[in-house]
Amino acid sequence: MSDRELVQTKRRRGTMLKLIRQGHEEQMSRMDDVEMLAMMQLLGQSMGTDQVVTMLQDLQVLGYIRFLQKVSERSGRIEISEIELTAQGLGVVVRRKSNDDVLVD
Amino acid sequence: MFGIGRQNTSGAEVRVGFRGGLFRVIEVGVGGLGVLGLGALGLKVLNAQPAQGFGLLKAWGPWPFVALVFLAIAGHFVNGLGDGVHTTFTSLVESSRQGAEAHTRTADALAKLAEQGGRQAEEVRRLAVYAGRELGLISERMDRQDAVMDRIASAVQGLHARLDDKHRG
Repeated sequence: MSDRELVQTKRRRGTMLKLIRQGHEEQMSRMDDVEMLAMMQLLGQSMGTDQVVTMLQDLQVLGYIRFLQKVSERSGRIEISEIELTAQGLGVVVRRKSNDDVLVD
Repeated sequence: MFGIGRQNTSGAEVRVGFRGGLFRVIEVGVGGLGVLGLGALGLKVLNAQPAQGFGLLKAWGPWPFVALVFLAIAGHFVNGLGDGVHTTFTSLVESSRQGAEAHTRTADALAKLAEQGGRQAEEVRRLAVYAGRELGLISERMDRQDAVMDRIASAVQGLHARLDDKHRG
């Protein structure tokens, strides 16, 4: 992955965390992967369904978010729902502290 | 499971059971009665004095025979009636099944539309919230950049002035 792609990935992760936090502050319902995809595309990020799912799973592995995951019986694809920040994710977003994994402007 | 675009091609199988079977029973019974009646009549004629058999038949007249033939024909008629009833029931059930399927598909479509409308409204709200929060931060970032640029400009002017002094001196 080139430096530019790395920065882009980190910025996208940061955007996802901010979206989750802002939804929580507005007491909106928790997002699923479909809504996250729609929001990222509305914000000008050219991402596909698989990319969004992969990025959410990466954020979970890194410990920034947690969610429910299941495999759709009808389509066979992975469905992610009830996305929320963990304590670590909350700290990064609220303090706006970028790190090696996430870029929060 | 029914859904948009899914078609259940299996037709309805109507087992009318007792009702359909009853018509068959009546047909067999009535037709059987006719045959038995004819047979009994024939036996009676044979058991009577055969020589007077024709006289006996003549005395009865045509009406017993007509009645027996009518019974045999009525059996067939009843069977046809039973088939008609069975077909009508089958059509009614099939029509009801298709109506129920159409209602289910309509309900599915309306639910999807409502869900889509709700999601889109939520997406617009999220976008508005994000834009509102981020625009403020972008402005702050630009103000900080402006301050940095001002400091750079001052530093360059100071450097330029020192170089001029050195050149003259």
